[in-house]
Amino acid sequence: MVAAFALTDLRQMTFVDRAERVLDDAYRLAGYLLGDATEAEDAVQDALTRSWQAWATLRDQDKFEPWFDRILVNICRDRLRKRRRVRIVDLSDDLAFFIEDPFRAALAKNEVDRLMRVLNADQRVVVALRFWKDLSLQQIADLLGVPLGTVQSRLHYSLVALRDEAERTTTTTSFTEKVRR
Amino acid sequence: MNEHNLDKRLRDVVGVRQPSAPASLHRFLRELPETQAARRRGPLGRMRSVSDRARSLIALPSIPRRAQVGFGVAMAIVIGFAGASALITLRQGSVGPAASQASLGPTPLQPPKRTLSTHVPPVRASFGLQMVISDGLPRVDSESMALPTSAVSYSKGYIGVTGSPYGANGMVHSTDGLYWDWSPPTEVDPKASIVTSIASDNLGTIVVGGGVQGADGTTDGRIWVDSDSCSPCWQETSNESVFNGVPVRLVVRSSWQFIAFGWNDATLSDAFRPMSEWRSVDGWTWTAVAAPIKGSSAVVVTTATGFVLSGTPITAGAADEPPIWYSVDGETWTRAKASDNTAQSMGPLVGATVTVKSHVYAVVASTGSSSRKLVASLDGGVTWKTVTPDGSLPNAASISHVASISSGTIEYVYATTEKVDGAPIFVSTNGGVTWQKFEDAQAGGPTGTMLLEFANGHQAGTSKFLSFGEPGSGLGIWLTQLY
Repeated sequence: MVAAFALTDLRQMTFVDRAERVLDDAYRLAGYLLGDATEAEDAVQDALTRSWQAWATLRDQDKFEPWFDRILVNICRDRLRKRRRVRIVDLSDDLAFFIEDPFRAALAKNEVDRLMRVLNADQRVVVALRFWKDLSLQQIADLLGVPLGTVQSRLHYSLVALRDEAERTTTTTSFTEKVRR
Repeated sequence: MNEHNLDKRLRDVVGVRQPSAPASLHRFLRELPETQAARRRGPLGRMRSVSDRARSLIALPSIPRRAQVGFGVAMAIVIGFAGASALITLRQGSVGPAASQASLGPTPLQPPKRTLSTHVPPVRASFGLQMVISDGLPRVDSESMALPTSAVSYSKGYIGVTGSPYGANGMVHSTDGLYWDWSPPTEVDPKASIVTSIASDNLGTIVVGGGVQGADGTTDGRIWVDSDSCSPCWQETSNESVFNGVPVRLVVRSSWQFIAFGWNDATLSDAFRPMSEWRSVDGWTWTAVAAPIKGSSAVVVTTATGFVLSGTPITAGAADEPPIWYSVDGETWTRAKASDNTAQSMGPLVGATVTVKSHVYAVVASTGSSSRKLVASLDGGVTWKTVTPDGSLPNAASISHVASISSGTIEYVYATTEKVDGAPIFVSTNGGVTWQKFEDAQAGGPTGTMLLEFANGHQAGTSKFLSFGEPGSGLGIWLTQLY
């Protein structure tokens, strides 16, 4: 009985209720952004902790989702930036046989993961929000708190870089295939 | 590679089957507030909590960082100028603003602004109980509000009746116990002139008692029923003639039937005024039965086995018989007994509450005196005894209201006493012997005098109830529950 009412504090209940509603979407966003399920879970946990600590400052609780997404995106972006500074030795490929990572698999399907490596953290965020969360450019600008022009510019340069990388990879592959023949 | 192909490659990442958040993440979320609360124990943690609470009280809309920086710079400039000017003034030996104001005479006293809003933040908790204030009282119009005098919970939230002396008569609704709206009695029936009381069988049938305006200006009794199919949509009971022109004042539900009481203010004096009683199993068909009491007040609570009734007796009882009756069917009433000398000076009950174990705690007025005392029955209203608090309940002789809530086998009994500063609420878990003050977690909590009515769907031992406050106290409806 006591356990059943452990969360009856209205403030807690409201927070948990709101967060539960966006949890799946948040996990996917973090997963596609980071390309790793474990890291996505860590990022969402960080975002939940931060948002709970700042919950008292959110005046309009109806705006929970964009507010939470903003916190989550900032955390993911920090993690992406950190990756550049800290070389992460990825051992998970060896474990792939045992553990299926849905995000890794989804990004690897069309070698998108390989393409995404050319983008910096800000560009990757914009691409993820546009193509995988399906937000409009204005929504992305609002979420990130940057002008619309900045979003347009980041997306443009991201797509150019991705296309260049795709063409470069294709050319290299064809060349390699020719050599093999 | 063209734009279209790249676009398609990117969009194909998100497949039809999307991954869902793992169970561990859901668990993390549910446990998060508790985990964080655990971190906040100790002096530093408590300071952080207080700081957060304060921030929640004065939370401002988010301000862009540039504006914040701009504001900071502007403030620095202003403070710099003010400091410099103060320094110059001091050097010149001129008088300060206080002196110049004094020459203008005293500032006229401004009356404090009164606000009708009751949305003070929100949780007040101690002793395993928590009270959450509603977001404002139910508004009747732009100037007035009303408080429920009875309410029930149902599938869509809470529904209640408001009325004298706490505002206009009508109906109130809330989906969560926190946000309430009000509507006039005509919501129930276009002919309804008054609604007085509400009861529910907790299975989808709700009844409201009240009356309609009679041809000669009197109020004729009525009961309306709402079945769950389209609730709330009220229908009048078919045999209205059974009420015989007497307004219905009180409806109560036991585990298997409803009973109702009514009296007619227009007839006779209180000492001779007959009390009418009706009973119904389904809420639709009512039968008149004989009540053992008279006058214009009745206190009725339901126990696991039936009803406990108190009021002014029609016939005086024996020396060991307090003015209390119990009944299984609401029709055959048996006079209760006192196991001590309780009955000697005992008037009718002025309020009662039933715990999950069918223990009845009640406030009783002493005859010939203004003092009150707490009495209890541990056998469903059959025998009664006086409960004597050990001194931890200040001014127990002015106890005003009781309520209860249960958690497993623990029975929390609330009481309020008048004539104590701030009229705080006290809680007992040992049958009313020792009491603890329901501590103020925050300023603005409810005071004892505002605990006027309690409603928990007339179900003893439920985990939450509503308490209603007095408009003048600036408080309102409190949803009370365990935590």
